[in-house]
Amino acid sequence: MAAPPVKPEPVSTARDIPRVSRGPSTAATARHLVSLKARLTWATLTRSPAVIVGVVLGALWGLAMMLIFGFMLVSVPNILPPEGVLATAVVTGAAGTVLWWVFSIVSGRADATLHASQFALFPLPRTGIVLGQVLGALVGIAGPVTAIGLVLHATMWREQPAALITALLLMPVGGVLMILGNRCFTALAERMAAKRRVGEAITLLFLVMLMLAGPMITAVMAGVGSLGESLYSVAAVLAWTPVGALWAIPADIAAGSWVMAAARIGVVVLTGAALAALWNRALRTSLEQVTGSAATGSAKQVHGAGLLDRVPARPWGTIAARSLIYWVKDPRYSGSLVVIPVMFLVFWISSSGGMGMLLFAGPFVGFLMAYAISADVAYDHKGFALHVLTGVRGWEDRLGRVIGMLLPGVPLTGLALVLACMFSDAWHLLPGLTGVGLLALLGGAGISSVISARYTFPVPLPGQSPFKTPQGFTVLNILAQMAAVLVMALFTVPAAVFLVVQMVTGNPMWGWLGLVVGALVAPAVCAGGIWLGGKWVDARAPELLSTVSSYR
Amino acid sequence: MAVSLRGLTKVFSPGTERSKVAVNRLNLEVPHGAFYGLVGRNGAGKTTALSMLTGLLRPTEGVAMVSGIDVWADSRRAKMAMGVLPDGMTFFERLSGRQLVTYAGLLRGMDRATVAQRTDDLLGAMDLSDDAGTPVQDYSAGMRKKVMLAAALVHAPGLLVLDEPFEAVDPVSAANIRELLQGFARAGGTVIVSSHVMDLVQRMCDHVAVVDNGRLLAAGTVDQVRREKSLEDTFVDLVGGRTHVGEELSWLRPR
Repeated sequence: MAAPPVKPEPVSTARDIPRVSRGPSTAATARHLVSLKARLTWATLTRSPAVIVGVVLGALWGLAMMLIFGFMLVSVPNILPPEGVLATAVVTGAAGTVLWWVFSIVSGRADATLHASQFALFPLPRTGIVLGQVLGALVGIAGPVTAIGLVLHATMWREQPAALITALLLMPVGGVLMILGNRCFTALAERMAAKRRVGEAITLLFLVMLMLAGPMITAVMAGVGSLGESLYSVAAVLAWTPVGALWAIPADIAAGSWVMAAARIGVVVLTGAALAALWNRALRTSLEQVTGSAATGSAKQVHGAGLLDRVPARPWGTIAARSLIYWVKDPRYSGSLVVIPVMFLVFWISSSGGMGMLLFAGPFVGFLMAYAISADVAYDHKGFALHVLTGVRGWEDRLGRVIGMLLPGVPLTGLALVLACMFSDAWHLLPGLTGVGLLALLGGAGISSVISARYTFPVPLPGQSPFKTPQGFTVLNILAQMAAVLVMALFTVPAAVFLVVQMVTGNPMWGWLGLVVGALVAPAVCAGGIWLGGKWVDARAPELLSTVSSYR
Repeated sequence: MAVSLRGLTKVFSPGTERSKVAVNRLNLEVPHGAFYGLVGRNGAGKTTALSMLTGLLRPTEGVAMVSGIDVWADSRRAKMAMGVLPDGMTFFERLSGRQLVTYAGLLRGMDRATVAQRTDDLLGAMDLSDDAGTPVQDYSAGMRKKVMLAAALVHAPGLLVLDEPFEAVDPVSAANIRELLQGFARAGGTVIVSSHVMDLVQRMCDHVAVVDNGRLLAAGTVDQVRREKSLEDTFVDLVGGRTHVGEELSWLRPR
């Protein structure tokens, strides 16, 4: 290998420090980031024919929703007086802003494509990354939707020309505020989620709040009085908060109350400045301590083999213990456990007085628990390789998972059945409901055992937030899941028929008959599901493994 | 023969334009008690071949036998005879190290006392005793390899199939593991190790097979394959494809 011709190096002097390129400029960085985001969005949407079909269906649904919502926004000035317009503008504007801000936290790593830490190795100016992230947020799905939404939002002021002009001028400010908050909280969440337990706790907390939001709002509304009144008082408060102030300014301008307008502008400016400062700090840490953000877990040590010491030393017992450990420790499972009591509360609040949905809380809880294991193999992800390598029999794999689910599932369903009958004062329906509950829980477990052995779909991977929408998940998967739910619902019919007959005729004998049918059919369905699912696992475990381990 | 592969073939997405032959009619005989190295470049088909041997990936064609048992006809018996460290897989990482090894033992139907005793021994041998109660997800890459290796050994199989066992493992642990494996082979056990570190294979293994593009290029004892040269030079000669990087990248000089 001949040495390449190299010019003789001049003796280096102080001025002759090796010259290193300065890297791209701010504008070039922003341009790169935006085009990266555009390409990633396009690639995500057109990955495979199935995804394209899903995207088209999803887009149609989104378009329909937008049309309905836009129509509602546009028609507000025709229906409501000017105060009503103001209240609607503030509430919807604040809702949109909050949505943009918290979405990143709730969804874990919502939009990691332009995360700052990914660019830490490249010599990019921080202002360029900031600009690229802000502009990049516009490219994608949420960006254009929000832009259209903002325009429709501004048209609400069309009765007052001064307000309309102000609203149109403030529109970009609103957009920037939304994106600024989104990026700021994403960056903060990225740092916080580095402590895994903290991240998981936040996720579960949000789940609970999200579920309670509906009933809580209903309760608050009922307390304040009519819907209109409560809307006005909510709007009056919101109009002074960081998320709502901006949307009230057009009304101030139109009314000529300059002091109010100035005060609200002050709120907006302070908010923007605070968000920018916070974001800047978070961004700097992201860029400077990339490796430092690696997940650090709790120092808690498990003594001995934990639960694995307390189950029958058979493969199915071992798998049951492992499932139970995951039910407690993995937020993808424990999320379901947290949801169930909350769900019960929601049922209770929303059917206060009289026998409403609450009565069916028992079967519903059983149903939820059974459905939770219908994607078990996908949840295992590559871990399923251990089951394949050790040659576990299919039925033992299925049985272990079912037992692991039933250990919390039976008490929870039982409790829900009893509490529901207690609160609704309908003890006479308990036998019939128990029959349906048995079919929902045990029968559902059997059906889930078959589904998870045969029909897998992408789920959040181990260690990811349960809210993360997995890559490759489309509307088609939702349809498949709905079909699964339908089949599981169909299998409760044998006992449900008797319950309905009892509710119509009032004869308790039918309820007891329902219980007997449930007690006979449910174990049979469960055993059948474990047997059939086990046969399928035996026949195609390697194919199952390569399908689920390809999820990313 | 401890392992015999006959005409083993894997075609990914056959019949489509993305169709790719990952392993192409691979024949290999591994005698009992051999310490067999499987070497090849990245993407040569090592992991695919080993996955077909261990029951993780169904072959398109061909037969894989372990001690005369057909892996794909009598897979449970074949799997009981094997301990496998797969590459690119993760096990249940929310379990602690001790739980994971225990899990692997109990899944194979062993009794609890034996599993507990062996788990202790293995964690000690892998230098993981202090971290036995820590969730595997908090382990480093090397510690993960070691705990997965422990899970592969717990049922004392006659054949070990280890895909890249030393990747990311520190030199001290690697030396310990090497000694453990050599002792196992001396006692009559069979070990198949894939690697692309030639020095390691030359020092550690008594047999070697060279794979490239899914085909077997050479197989036999290390001395037969390498003759007078080092294994690395032999490998480069066999596989070819060396580029004279120095000439093409003449700009790669600090200014």
